Formats: sequence, C-alpha cells, structure tokens
Amino acid sequence: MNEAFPCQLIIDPPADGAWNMALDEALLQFAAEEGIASLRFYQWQTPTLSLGYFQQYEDRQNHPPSLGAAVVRRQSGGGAILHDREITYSISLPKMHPLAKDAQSLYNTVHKTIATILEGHLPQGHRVSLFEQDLAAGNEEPFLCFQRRARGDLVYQLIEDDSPMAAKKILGSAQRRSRGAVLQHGSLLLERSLFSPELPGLNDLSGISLTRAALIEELRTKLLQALYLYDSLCEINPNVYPSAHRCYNRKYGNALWTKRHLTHGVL
Amino acid sequence: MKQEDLRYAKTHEWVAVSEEGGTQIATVGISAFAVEALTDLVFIELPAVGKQVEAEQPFCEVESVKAVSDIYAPVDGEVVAVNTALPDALETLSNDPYGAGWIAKIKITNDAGLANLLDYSAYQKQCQE
Repeated sequence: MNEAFPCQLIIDPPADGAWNMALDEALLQFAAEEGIASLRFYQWQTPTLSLGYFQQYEDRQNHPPSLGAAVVRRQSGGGAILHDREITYSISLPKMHPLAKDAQSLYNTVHKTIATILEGHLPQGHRVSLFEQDLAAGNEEPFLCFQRRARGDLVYQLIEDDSPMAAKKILGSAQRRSRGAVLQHGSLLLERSLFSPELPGLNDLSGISLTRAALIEELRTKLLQALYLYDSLCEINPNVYPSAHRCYNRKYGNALWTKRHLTHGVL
Repeated sequence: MKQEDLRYAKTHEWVAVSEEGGTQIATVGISAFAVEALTDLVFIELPAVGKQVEAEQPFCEVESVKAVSDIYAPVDGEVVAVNTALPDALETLSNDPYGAGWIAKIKITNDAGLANLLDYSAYQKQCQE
C-alpha cells in the first residue's frame, strides 16, 4: 500500500488566464520545495486560448474562431486549448510520489479515474475510454490539442461505432516536469464553445447535462483517492502567492513571453 | 561512449569530461532511462552557443507527447557546441543516447559540480528505486 501524501485542495473562482498559469507554476514549485501536493480546479474569467509551451504565437492566425479570445502561453507542451465551457484541473506532485516518476502513469491514472466517473453518467450505448493507439507525432500536428490524439487521451464514442475515426477527444492533459516535482493540468470539455465550434463537449455528444459543480464534487473525492492524497490543507499556503505573482509578472502576464518566437529547435 | 564510463546527474543527464587544448569540456546528454520515462519526444530547445550555464540549473528543454521537461547543466561553464542535428532527428536520443544523441558541450569554468555526479552503478541503483 502506498503512503498517503498531504495535499492542498483548491477550488478557485474564475480568474484571468495569466493568473491561472502563474498559480499552477507556483504550485509546482511549492510541491518541489515543500513536498506538498495540490489538486486544483479552476475557471476562466473569459474564453481563453492557451498555447502549448513550444507553439508559435503566429499560428493562432490559422484558427479564426478563437482570434477574439484572450491568449496565454502554458508551461506545458502540446497543442492549443480553448478554455471556455470545461472543467480545468491541475495536479502538482512532489518527486517522491510514486506517480511522479514517469509521464504515462500519472496521465493514465487521472484519465482512468475521470473515465470511471463519467461512465456512471452516460446513457446506454455511449462510452468513454482511453485512446490506445500510439500515433506518430510530428511537425504537422494540428494546432488544437483536442484535434490531436495520444495514448491515454480520453475519448468519447458510441459503442456501435468503435472506429478510431469516430472517437472524439473530450479530455486532454499535459505535464511540466522539473527536478523536484511534476505538474499535470488538463481540460474536460463539457460543451462546445463559440470560439472552437468544431469541438463538441461531453454534454453535446451524449445528450446529458452534467454540471461543473456536481462533477467537481465527484472528481475531487475520486482523484484524491486514486493519487494517494489527503486534503489536510483547505487553503493555499500563503507562501505560494509571492511565487505566483513573480511568475505572473515575468512570464504569463507579459506579452513578450506569450508572443516569444522560437527558431526551430534552438533559442 | 560506454555508459559504464560516464558520470550521471541525479536529474538523469550523463556527462563525459575530456581535455581539449588545456581546458576541460563536458559533453552532456540524457540517459536512456530518462528518454524512456519521457515517452515520445517531439521537440528540443537547445541552448545557444556562448550561453553561460550554472551547475544544477536548467539550460535546455525537451518536449515529449506528454510533458515539457528541463535538462540541467551538470557544471558551471559556457556552451561551446550544440548538437544541431538533434531537433530534426529526435529519435537519435532513443537510438543512441550516449553517442550521436549528445546535446551540448560545455567548457567547464568550475568543476565543483562534477563531485556531485554519480558513477554508473550508483546511477543504476537510483533508477531502480
């Protein structure tokens, strides 16, 4: 049996994208420095496009529906996400946590836990499952995270049509790994956004009406359990805020960071 | 290079130190264990030649399908060469991590960081924990 780890459980009100990303980075640093995990659910004040760490800012021009949305750059990789009608979570684990060691274990554990919860709400004939194929990633990956597929992504489909093409991605996550901790954050699409109309959410696809608040109640309990965490700390440790403000000022709230241009492979 | 002859950082970088023209050069890469744990690699951001690096501080970043990870400098020094073939051939990190998969060469200005590195058997033990 695995040791249980102390955890800050955080359910945040809507905030701007830069603050959301700054707080996630500060929680990663806190996990590394103090050995304390965090499970956080958060919201977005306004529909916001988050770019993957290495994506080019200019590439957002190729997705006209989201041009009117705010924009921020994440510290995690992968494709762009339009955060609007979704549940967003983040998990920060210190390096001594058994799931911090390799990328796929944490990804699968979180996604399987969420899949089990969602399965309990779906009508007969519908299912969610972990995408099982390894697709070769390359430079031609779609701009949006939810149009990409990787092993462990959570996809929705009708049981009668189990072809990979019919699988719609509804949950995607990405990680940032540092010497002392790992951060995983992700988005569960509930409903289609006007800023990404090509991406239906779980409610659109299945015809059910899951609410954010009700789902978070289930998710918090099951995720804490699955990740060997106990929520001994109901508030964010005050030491996290100075670090979050520094991250906000230096990176996420700074247009130079958001618009930074990468030459291929070499900074 | 033989993995048994290399030294390793706890953060999974390998290091080979050589003498070139009277200066010590550290060739740095990441271990096969780290490459496997990261899963499929898709992008690397190499440091610029001339960049001053500090031991145990991030000097390079690599992206896999799942994660962005820091790569840490094992010593203080100056980056004098980078493996410019890597960004277009990331599979080299998996296929030949201790040879053609080298990432950067650092001219060592302070070798104190070398004392913190592990030998092969100690690193293997760390990976099994």
